[in-house]
Amino acid sequence: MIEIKNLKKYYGENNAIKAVDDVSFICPDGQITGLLGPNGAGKTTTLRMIIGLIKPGAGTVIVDGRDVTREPGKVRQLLGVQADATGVYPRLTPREQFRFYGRFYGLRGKQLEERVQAVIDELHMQDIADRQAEGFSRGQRQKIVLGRALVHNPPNVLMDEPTNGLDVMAVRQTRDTIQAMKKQGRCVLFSTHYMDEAERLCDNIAIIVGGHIVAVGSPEQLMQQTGQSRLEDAFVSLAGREYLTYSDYGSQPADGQALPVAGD
Amino acid sequence: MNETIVARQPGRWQLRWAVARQEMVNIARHPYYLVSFGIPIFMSLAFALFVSALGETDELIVAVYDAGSSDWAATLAKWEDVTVRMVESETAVHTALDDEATAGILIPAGFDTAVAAGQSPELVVYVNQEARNDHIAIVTRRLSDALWTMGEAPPPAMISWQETNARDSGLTFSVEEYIVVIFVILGICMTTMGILAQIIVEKRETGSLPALLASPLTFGDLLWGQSTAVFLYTMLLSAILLALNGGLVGNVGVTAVSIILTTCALLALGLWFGLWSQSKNQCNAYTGVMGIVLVIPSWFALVPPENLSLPLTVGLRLLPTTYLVELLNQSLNGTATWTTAGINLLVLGMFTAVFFGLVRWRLQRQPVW
Repeated sequence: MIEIKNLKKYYGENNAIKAVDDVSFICPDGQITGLLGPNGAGKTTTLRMIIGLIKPGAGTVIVDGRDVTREPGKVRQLLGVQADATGVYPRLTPREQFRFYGRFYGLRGKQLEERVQAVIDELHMQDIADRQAEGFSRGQRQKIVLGRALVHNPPNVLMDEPTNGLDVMAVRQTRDTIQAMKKQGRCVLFSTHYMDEAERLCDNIAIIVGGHIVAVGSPEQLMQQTGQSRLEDAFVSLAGREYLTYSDYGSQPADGQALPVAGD
Repeated sequence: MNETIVARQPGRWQLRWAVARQEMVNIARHPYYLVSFGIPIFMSLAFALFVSALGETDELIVAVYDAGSSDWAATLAKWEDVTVRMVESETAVHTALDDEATAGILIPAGFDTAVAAGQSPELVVYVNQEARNDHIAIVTRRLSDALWTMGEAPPPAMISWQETNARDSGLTFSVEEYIVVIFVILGICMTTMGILAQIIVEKRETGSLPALLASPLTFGDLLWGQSTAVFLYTMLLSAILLALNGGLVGNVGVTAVSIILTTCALLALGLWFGLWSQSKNQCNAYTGVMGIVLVIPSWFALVPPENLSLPLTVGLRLLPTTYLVELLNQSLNGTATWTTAGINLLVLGMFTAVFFGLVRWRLQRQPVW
């Protein structure tokens, strides 16, 4: 489980740029949580603070009871992170890349080989497992990135726009994998701007705009709250006003303008 | 979850070694990096072919004047890879040395009898200072072995080493040593710094850094692993270049430590340029220019120090490779001891420490991305 409490990250002179401002939400085990927001909303910064790549200005991130600021190494053992598909080693095979990452988590020998093979099987990569990744399609590279995140069998998985730029078949496979991770009892947190994807996959959604969480709830709750029948419309309804308010970084909402957060 | 969590937290050195292994595979499969390592070896082989085409012989010749028909002289004639020429006089020995012989041996009359009587007779051995270092080393070793076959204690004979054809006083190098220095410095300067800087920049350019740092690996571990991989390749390259050019002679220990220290200094420069550069092109430009600057001391290796202008001398002293040239000079011609090489090794060590200090400062000031 991942608990994010009052997370803040400000940049610039006099902390004028509020990239993430007082963000709080919980991602339970066995559920898929979506972090939704327009470009520049603070999704990636929030994910990077959860991973410990960026030190929070304030607030805490607790992963399975461990504070990421105090025990970053132990927290990373508990996390699998799927970053952008461009970070693939072109001259290594998928199997080699999984081995490489597996060693970072203390996997060795037979145990490492078993996990690598399990990931290859799980992601249906048998036909490309021993080919150098040079020239792989985006979907194939995305599988490598996902496999690297899963090789140490983490209980929590973070994904940054996992279906971005993929074709229909690859999107479907990725979504199946995310569903499978939920069934395995993992806590899955992913960021996306695809509303249909969030509606289909997510048990919980946190909508972030201008560094603020403007709503948290299940897709049904968010639609009910806004009186909309589609999540996309609910999102626009919830985020639209906030987006206009916060899209200019550093501006402060006038009193009473901020929308209430679901669940408050 | 159905499966238990199998991972346990690895140690720092395990993480660094994992990176080093991956980078070694990465370098071995990268055409550009392979070519970078291959060029000095190719040039070295091409030069050897060029020299042989010019007619320089590889024959190792030893001229022997046996004044008393010694039986021991017959054992010398059985040496493999060495052409032993029996001559008729001491003068003929000197003539052979002036010509192309590596060494000349004078076996006195009654040598066998004196050895048998345990009198340790004197054996005069002339060494041609213009001969190749590896040839001199071979003769020295073979002669020592041949003597000890005659008995153990007391020493069968006392060898009196005499140097002939001493090099011009102004020159501190033989041409063979010069070639070793040129290729070793070229190999280290054109590969170590540039390749390390490039594989650092590559991680940023390809976007693989966030995924790596989301694991228990720290940025420091990553740099350690990358440096280790390049260090090991540089050591392999240096060993090949030394072996190909007859550089495994003299004080090999001083040669090895000098190369290790210089490699470490250049790794620090590679880290600096890798952290500084935003793209591979920028990185290539910086490290290319710096590589040429660092090779410069080897150009002046054959020039007597007193013939260099003061500004040039001072400028060269600011380059770590100047000290490597001097150390290789001493170690290859066999005059280096840990005491005589100590100051230059210390200076090289200081360069390395300063460069790593700068990298540390840079790391503290610069965010990872």
